Amino acid sequence: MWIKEPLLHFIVLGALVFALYGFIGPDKPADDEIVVTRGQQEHLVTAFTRTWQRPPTQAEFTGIVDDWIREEIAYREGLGMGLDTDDTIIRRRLRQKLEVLAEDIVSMAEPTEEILQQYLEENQTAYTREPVYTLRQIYFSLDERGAAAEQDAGQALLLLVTDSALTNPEDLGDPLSLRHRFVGERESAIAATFGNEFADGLRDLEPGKWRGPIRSGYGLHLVLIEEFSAGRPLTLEEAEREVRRDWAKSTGCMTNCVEDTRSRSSR
Amino acid sequence: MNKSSLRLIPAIALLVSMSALAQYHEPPNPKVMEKLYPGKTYSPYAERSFPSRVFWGETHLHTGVSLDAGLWGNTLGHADAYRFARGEEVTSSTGLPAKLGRPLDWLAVTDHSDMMGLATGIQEGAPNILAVPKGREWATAFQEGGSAANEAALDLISSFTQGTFPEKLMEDYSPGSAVYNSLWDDITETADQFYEPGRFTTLIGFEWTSIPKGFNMHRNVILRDDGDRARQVVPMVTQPPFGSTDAMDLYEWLENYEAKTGGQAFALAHNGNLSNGWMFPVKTRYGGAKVDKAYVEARAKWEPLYEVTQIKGDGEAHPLLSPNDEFADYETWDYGNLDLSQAKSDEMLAREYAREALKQGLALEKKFGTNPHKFGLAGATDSHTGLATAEEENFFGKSVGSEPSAGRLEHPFMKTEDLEIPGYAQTSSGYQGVWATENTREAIWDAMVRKETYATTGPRMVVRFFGGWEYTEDDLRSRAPAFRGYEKGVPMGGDLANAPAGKSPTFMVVALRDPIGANLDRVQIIKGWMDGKGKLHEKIYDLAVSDGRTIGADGRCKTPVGNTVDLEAATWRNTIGASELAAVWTDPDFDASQSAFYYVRVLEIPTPRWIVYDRLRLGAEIPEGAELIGQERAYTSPIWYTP
Repeated sequence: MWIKEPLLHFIVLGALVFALYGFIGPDKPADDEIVVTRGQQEHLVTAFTRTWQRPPTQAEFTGIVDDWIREEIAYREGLGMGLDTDDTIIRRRLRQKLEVLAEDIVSMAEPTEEILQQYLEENQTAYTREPVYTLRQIYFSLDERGAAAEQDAGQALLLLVTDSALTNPEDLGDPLSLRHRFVGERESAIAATFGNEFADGLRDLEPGKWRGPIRSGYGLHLVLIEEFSAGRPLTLEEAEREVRRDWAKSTGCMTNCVEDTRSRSSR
Repeated sequence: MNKSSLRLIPAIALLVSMSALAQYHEPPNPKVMEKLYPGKTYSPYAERSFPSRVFWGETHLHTGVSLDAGLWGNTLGHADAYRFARGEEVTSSTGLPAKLGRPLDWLAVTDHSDMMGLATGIQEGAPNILAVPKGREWATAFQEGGSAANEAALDLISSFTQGTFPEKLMEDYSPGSAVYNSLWDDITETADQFYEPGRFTTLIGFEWTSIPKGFNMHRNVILRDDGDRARQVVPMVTQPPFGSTDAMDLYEWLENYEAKTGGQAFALAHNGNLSNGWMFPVKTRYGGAKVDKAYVEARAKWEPLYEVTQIKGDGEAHPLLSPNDEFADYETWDYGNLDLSQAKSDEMLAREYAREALKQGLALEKKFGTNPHKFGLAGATDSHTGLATAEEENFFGKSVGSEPSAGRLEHPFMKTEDLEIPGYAQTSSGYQGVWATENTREAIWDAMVRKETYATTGPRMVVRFFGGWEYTEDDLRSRAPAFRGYEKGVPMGGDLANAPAGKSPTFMVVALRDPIGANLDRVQIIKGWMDGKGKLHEKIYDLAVSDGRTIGADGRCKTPVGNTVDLEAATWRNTIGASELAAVWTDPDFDASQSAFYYVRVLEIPTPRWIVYDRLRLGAEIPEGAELIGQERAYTSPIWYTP
């Protein structure tokens, strides 16, 4: 049937579009014609008023419109000569405009809970609750005792385990100005005080009993973990503030739009 | 689910997890506790209001928002700076992965308030920049990049310091403009977003960069408050008509800030060593005005701290001012003023260094009744890379141009026709230890104002310092010297007065080396005082030294600790020095009628400077004359005695 002929569809639809555009489309000036629309005029007046705190006089108005026309001519000539290509400033300006636009769009869009949940799961390592310790420690100085420190610590441990009435266990070791008891300290705070080696060593110790010795930046330590709460991943409810913050920062154009384009171009 | 019930969930989750936390509870032995903490309640933690932990951070970091940093290619923002400081890996402006060895506990980002955002505008070629001939010139140079961009940056800074900066651009990037206001909103909002009380504290601040004739008069302003208060003002700048280069006008800004917002703020100065004699005036101050009562009172009120060490040199003491101090010549920068437009001359030094300023403060106090130099000591980086690095083996340099590269040692930091500050002279320094009760804006800020802080050149040694009239060796040997310290006297930054008849002040010092750092060489007290004739003196006392060396009757140990540095491997061994040095010391030369101050200097054993690591890791050539080894150190806030 002729009614199913694609060429006919094309012609009819094309004619319709053309007619519609002629009816409602803008009155496009010819290439060598410059029109200062009412909107552009208003924009020029507003800019002038903001700077001078008053509207322009008729003479000033003619002046700024003339200047705009001169700029428009120069702009078109420049474009025609291809002066915009390979211009770093123009490139940066366009990039900046695109980024501002993207950020505006992002800041308007409130992330749904699903989006935040997904972001949390993809970056779960950044949202964890650290292990928290309450512990006592006795210090054995390597400076003072040298190689014997390990053996001395072992003997002290034996005493601690067998003599539950021991009142000043700290006296078994050497003086050091670090506290003997730490209450409710995060693992990172323990690591900052004793060094990472010590914090790592704690993980292998059985809570509730004197154990060790383990090494710190200063020497050896016997340790009694009195209370311990293990680290664990945070849920969205717990970390929502941080997730929201990090999601918003990561959704800027440079990370998303550019990555998208990059993956498209590399295909 | 509505918003308020959403907010309840974290609280409930917290309660649940807290009950899980209580499972291994075992009450401590009351007898032990009583013996440990005599005179206190059964539970020593119940009434303990003094700080038990030192929190590390710094009050002086620049990001790409700072004019000069941005001009030198810094593309990092505040979020990057906070992430890096709290221990995350970030990518530096030159594309290097960067991570701190250990996280910091708090940070103040202090971008230059003048021309905030201008560099970003130049980088992007914003229309208002291109409308000004000089702006177009700079933007064009930035397109070219490389050395052209570098020269444009230097030209811009020199036009700024010499007062020839284009007026139109001044307006666009000054308080009151839309660009400026929205930038400040963004800065303060980001600080609030990254503030996690108890874990990581962000202090809101900025740098007021007064630099008349290239003389460094800079102050950092640190707020105690959150963004809601900070946003009621915009930062103080130096360029008229928007601001002023006179510190008296900054003090007025601070006064107004507190009156208007109900918040609190202070200022701290830095780099007297680049002020060519202007930082600590005693007779005539900035602009020819007299040092008068109004000035000394305002300075005393608003400047509780001084930044004594940073990348642009160490400012504790100068060898010419302290000829008997064999440790005074440490990372000394006495080339000239900041832009090297004027060379240094010897008579300027006395108005530039912290120790001398502390002494002059006693004289000014006698004259005016107020000591304008009653400051505690802070260390900071002043890094312009957005990266707060002060470790020798992880030093990202002063600016993006001096981020790690094989050639960075040979590139001068600053160069004019006659003068040059070599790149290898940059000091990988410093941090500030704060004895705060907790890691919050309020607690950290309050500790700074009561001067319970100390500066280090990078290492995180733990230093306690107390002054009183009754400390004994027993207090030191007690299991918790800190309890005795607070019970019987005042901590660093405090005051002693009303000397009991016939008694001399006693001081208790405990210094523990950085858990992953070098051993300690010695612990010293540096005393400054004014005699009956108004003459100022200083004296150094060694309190404790390592390796069984002896301290002579003159209070000094002249035997050096030795040196274990292996320059080829860029390492050292802790086979010399001590993990911990402690002492109780009584001033042997005390005169109750003379005002005095005492502060502690802790010295590490020698370790390699950052340039040695550059040679090992980057294959850098070390230029002739460069120092390879240094003794890093800590400086505590003083304790003052006033008759």
